[in-house]
Amino acid sequence: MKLTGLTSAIAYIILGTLTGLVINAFRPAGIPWIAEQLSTITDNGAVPESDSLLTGIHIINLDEAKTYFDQGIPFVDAREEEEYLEGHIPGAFMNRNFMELVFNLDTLQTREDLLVTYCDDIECGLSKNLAYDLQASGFTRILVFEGGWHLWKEAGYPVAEGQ
Amino acid sequence: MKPGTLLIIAARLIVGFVMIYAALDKIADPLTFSRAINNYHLIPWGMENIMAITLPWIEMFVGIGLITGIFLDGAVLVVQGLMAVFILAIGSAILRGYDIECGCGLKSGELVGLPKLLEDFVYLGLSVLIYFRSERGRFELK
Repeated sequence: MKLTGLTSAIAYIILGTLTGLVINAFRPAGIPWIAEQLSTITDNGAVPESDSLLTGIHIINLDEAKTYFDQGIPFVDAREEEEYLEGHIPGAFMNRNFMELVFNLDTLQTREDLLVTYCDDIECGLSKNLAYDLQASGFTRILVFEGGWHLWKEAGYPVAEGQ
Repeated sequence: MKPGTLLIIAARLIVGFVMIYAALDKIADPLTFSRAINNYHLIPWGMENIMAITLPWIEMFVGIGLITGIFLDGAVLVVQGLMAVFILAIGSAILRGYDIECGCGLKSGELVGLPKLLEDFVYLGLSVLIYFRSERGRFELK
């Protein structure tokens, strides 16, 4: 069979696409074709009065982050150690070592209790990745503060430096 | 054998094995790959999953194609297209100041940055070299 470069390129793309779809349909680690987007906790940005039903991973904004901070919900800084030491949200856990972080959270509360992850800003994926890792470790109610450190600092909210 | 043929075979093996190796991690864990794509904020409507399902298999087949020489022109054209897309994605992430994991499948936890961009330019260069090889038909299956 003789195929031109372009035709055989298209053949490769079709072969790869079909193989991927068929294998995905039959394997246990298969995922849906369309990704589910993380939802914000409320439509109007208000913190729900009761968050007992809030499960899974959700996005929160600055106001909501501040409210949870004031309530004493633990924050986890997903950034590098250096950035954490330069400045972080007071009381936030450092993610120097994931097992250590899980141990520290476990000594503080159960895995069904709320916690907040954050990193630099919306352009940083670390807070979401950490939330997924924590969820995979059994934590069931995780909030991702997407605005992160930059937004928090800009708002003039309390900050801490060092350990 | 023309003098450049050995160089072309070496380039085919390098790019071919890189494509296969990069595909393996992504095939093993499509969910992590999908989240890595999502972090680039380039793909709308949750389409990152369909990319995560299909893209690694395309990489796998063109990698095999480069090594075996099966429809070599087609395989190398796809590699060029993929590298162009990766360069644009990584380049735009750098320009936007993103500090995200590459999701390239070669090294776990590797962040986007200039070294990664240069690496993809090298693969693109090698695949262009393969496409314009002078000795055709040898060590190839059509």
